[in-house]
Amino acid sequence: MNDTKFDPVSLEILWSRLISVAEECWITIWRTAFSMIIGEAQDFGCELLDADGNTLAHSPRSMPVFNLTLPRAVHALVEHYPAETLEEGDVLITNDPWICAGHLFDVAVVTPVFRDGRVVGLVGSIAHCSDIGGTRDSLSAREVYEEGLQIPPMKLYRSGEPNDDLFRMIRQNVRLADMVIGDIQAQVSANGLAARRMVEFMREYGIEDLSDLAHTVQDRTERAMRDAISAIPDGEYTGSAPFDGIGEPMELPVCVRVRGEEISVDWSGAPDQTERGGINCTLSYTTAHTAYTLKCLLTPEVPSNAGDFRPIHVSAPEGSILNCTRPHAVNQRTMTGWSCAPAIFKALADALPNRVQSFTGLPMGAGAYGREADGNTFNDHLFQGGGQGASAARDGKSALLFPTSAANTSIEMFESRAPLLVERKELIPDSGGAGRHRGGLGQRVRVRKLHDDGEPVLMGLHPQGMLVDTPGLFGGRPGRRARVRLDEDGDSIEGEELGGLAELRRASQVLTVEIAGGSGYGDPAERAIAEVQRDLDDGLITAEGGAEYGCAVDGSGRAYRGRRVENRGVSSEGWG
Amino acid sequence: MSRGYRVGVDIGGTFTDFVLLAGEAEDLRLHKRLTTPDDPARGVMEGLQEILRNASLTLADCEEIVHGTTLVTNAIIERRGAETALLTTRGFRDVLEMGREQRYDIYDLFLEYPEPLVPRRWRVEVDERITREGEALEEPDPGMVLEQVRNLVEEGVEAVAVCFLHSYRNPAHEQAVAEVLRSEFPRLSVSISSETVPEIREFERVSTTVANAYVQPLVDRYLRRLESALEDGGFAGRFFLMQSSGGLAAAETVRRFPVRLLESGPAGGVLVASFLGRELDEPDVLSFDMGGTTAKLCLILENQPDLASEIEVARVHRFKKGSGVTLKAPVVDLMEIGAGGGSIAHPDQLGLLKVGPRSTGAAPGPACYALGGTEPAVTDACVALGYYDPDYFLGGEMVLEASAAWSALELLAETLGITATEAAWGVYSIVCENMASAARIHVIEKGQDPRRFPLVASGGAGPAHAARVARALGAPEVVVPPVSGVASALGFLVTPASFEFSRSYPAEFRSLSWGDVADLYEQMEKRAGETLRASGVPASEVSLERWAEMRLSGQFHDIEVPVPRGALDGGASREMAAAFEERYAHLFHAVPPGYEPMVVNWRLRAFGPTPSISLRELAPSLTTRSLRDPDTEAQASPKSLRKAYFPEADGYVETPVYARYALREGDIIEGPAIVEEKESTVLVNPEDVLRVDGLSNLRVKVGGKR
Repeated sequence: MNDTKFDPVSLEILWSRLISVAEECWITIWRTAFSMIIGEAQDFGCELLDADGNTLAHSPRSMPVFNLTLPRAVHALVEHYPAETLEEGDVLITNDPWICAGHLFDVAVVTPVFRDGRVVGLVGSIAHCSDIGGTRDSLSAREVYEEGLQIPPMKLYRSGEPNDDLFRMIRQNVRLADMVIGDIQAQVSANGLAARRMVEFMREYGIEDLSDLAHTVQDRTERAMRDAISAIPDGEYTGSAPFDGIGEPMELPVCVRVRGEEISVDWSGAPDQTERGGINCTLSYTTAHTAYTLKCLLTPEVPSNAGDFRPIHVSAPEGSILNCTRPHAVNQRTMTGWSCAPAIFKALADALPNRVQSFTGLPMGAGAYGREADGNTFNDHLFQGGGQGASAARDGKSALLFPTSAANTSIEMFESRAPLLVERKELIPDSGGAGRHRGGLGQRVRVRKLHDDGEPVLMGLHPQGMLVDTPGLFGGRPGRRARVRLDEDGDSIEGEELGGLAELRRASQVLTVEIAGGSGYGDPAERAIAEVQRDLDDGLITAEGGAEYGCAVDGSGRAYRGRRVENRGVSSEGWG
Repeated sequence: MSRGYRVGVDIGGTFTDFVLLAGEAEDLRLHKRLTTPDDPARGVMEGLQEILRNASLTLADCEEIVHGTTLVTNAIIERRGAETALLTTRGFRDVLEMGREQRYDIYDLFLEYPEPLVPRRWRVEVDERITREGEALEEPDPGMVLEQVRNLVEEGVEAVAVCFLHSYRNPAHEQAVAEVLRSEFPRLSVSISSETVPEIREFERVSTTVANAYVQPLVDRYLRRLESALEDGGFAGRFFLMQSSGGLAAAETVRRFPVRLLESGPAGGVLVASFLGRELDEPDVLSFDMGGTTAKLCLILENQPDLASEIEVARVHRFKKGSGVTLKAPVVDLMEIGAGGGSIAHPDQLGLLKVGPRSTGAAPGPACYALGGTEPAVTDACVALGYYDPDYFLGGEMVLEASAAWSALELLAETLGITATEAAWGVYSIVCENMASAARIHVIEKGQDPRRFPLVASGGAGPAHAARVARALGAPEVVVPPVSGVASALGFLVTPASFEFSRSYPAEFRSLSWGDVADLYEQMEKRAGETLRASGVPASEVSLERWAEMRLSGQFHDIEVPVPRGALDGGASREMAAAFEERYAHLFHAVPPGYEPMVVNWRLRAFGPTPSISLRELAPSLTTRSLRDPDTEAQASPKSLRKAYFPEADGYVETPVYARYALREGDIIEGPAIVEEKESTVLVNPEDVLRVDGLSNLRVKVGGKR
């Protein structure tokens, strides 16, 4: 390892400094963004890269998948615009799903860092823009062409001058262009700020070239990852996770091979890419989700950079749902990619029982799009999480977004931007999977139009886990499934029939979404009776739900354990 | 101000500090005693009597007592608040528990979150709804609410928080419910969100209102006990509490909004720095307060620390943002990090040396306390490097064991493959670097250049680390004020009574009604007058400061812009828009073309006259017996020499040690040198120069020898 130049003290100082520059970049995007999805839900990430495009440091709050897809995007950009052709003030951009983050919404903006006329590093950010054009009905899309504007590697700024042609092209192709362009501008300015800080940092410490430092931090991180891998016995570990697919449940099998200090994750059993619906993942996206899961399992406390991923190898057959080919539709790729983590947890559960986590109910960001009576259009996202999976350490938290790092969105803030009334945002009793540790509860959100103004509101709805149960680990039970339903005067349309896009025309139409609960961990019969009682007292489980734990409840509400009750599967609480 | 006596009292985790000041500072006395956590009022009363007795005074001689306390923060950390219930809009009782639903560390699968202050069974939903426009869709039924609350009271609930959606826009439902509750249950504490924090975002508002209700009975009982004890002791003067915003408030105000007390000690430290800045004609300084567990950094511009509108307390994962209880209340905007004398040094998984955030606390303490601690802490490094004299810690009241410090450091050094001295230096320089990094982020977030500001050092460990921190930041100078060890309590005495108000009225300038804004300010100013009158400030002496939180229309986060004095009209729009553009460009980049600025919240700060205290007056009293160490009196030259480690000198060198209060105005000491006082040690590094100014401050010029 090449770290003779840095003792443990100065290395710690320099490295922390780089992380704080990345954090400052993150704060600037967050504070200057215009969309709910970036400014509130924080669906973005940013990082510093060395001159070769390998990650040096990212903000601790960055969207994990973006941290891992950015280097790939940067490599592709630099391949197109070699470093020696770049000029100070250039800003590069792309949203190509195959080289970037897997769907067109995620726009990468990359700024080269110059010192004395030479590129010494890069700052990159990826943010999920509020709109990229294309159909609102994403489950209907067959090809990426239907999904919106594709931006190949291009220059957004040339020597500090905006590329007006490109700006006008984007503006013409997206809904609420001011919001989209404003967010891209937030990325540009945050990158610029971080680039200045990097140069100041190099000047202050007299660093001419970041490569020594880069190699040192990356090597250290790689070493820690290799050590963690070699602690797992060599062998093949298999697992799988079910997911909804398009109308038909599918299964995502995985084989994790550990050999010495290297780990490879083989998705060769993945289903074929789908012709419709955009639930296909590009290999770049699959790789990011796979590597992110391993990072959480193996060295969560080590700051992340390129070194983490050198001993990790990911493969998926070309043409499969995890390595789709152009021009297959990809917009809804989370509907597949978010099942990578539970499959890997399942595979490694026996090897790492204290580090894995049972299935977490997958979050949903519902986009609401329409026109106010005064003619103003809106396009705002309502984010909510499911129940966290339980683990050896503890019960799952009720309502948490995973595997994204996003936050939920404030109801008051959402209502003040979109003319909708949120009638409920509440936990669903009995929705957490039973176990020695209970899965977190899922949540119910109910929405309707505020005014009967005749203007339709389109709500994109893709709750995941409507068709499948994901069992918990070591005997834990599945959490309750997700559901979606539209009611009006006693009539209702449910689930798949809604087709991922609800059109609200009247205030009497009430849309209810239920996000899945987390799965349990360990045998429910082993759950302490005091914890069952506490859940009962707090209404997190009902008396009926107590039966999952082999408990009956007496007339005064006290739980007691009698004969072991048969597993009745998922509880069937009615629509609240 | 007359020659009356004023006392500042600061209850901290370990010690309660007292400062007694006569008139404009003709006399100054300090006192420190152990906090009495079982009954903090007892420690306050005993300490007051002790410091007054030493000055041959009684409580009847005191004109004013200013009190700061960690009572509120500790009550939330230790979960010692009242049995509290929440009334909220139908369908939303879980908002308090869900929080922002965000993971605060992206790689940690097993994050912990704070338990909500109200258990789910006591979160009761009320059928009512107000829209975003403030229009009532459904009115609450008071009879039904009473029924619900009656059950809660029977179960032992003492406090109720009421938080309905969009009440910041229309408080009528909350007010109606509060009214029936107050008349039906006069002993119940009732907090409503539209009074506690009338701002948009339901989670932050409910979390704050719940915390307010949760601590209200406790604060009320504490104040009642303290006030009656003071009265019994013959005290007939004014009694103020220090709020976390840095403003004083009367007990009556604090009873309604106890959440605004939070933690007043750190605010006191900042106030001393800003006071000192005024005295020194340095309006812009960086306050640096380092104690046993944490360091607090705060940028002061134009003699005024910034206020933040949100803070997190009782973090489950110490120092990790997102792991605590979120509170929206005006607080001095300081950066607190886990770096103190007790911070533990350890190798991380990569074999790199890390310091903190875990701390040894008071027990077992650093290894050198010889109270059973074996892990090396920052204080151990300071002993090993010769910066601290093991026989003169707290003026000799505590003896440190250097050998224990060395043993702990040797173990650490072995794992790192370096020498024990290198480990000691590593611990010291990393903790300084950590603080410098935190300071850098804090200053940069304010859009300022961290190299520009002198550091004002306080706290037990501050003066021993300040010069290195300054060097890492590129800061020009360190100022160590007199009484730096009890700075917070002194800070209480140099600050005016004040209170902050705010109203949400989001609008772009083109659609804004300045008449409505004027009405909002009129209402706020009326309340401000009433609040300050209750604190004994006559209307003629109330000063007002107005500012607004602005953003580009469509954004989510604000920057602060002053609201012009005088008439509010189109001229104000132009002035504010220009100020916004300038500040935006300074913080981020030029405002992108085509985006309209808008105002979101309108704020007002009302304050009384600042007590006139002069350090110039204070200086002579510092050389009186009250502060001097009798052993070292009249020694203007070094009292001793000891070996201290400086990398600039390539190792240990004989370093002169001075007694602080033996130094006189104009004395100049070249580094390396050590200056000791009872509560702290000032380190002068080899390239630095120390000078004693006319106000008894020690001023260390960083790199002054070159």
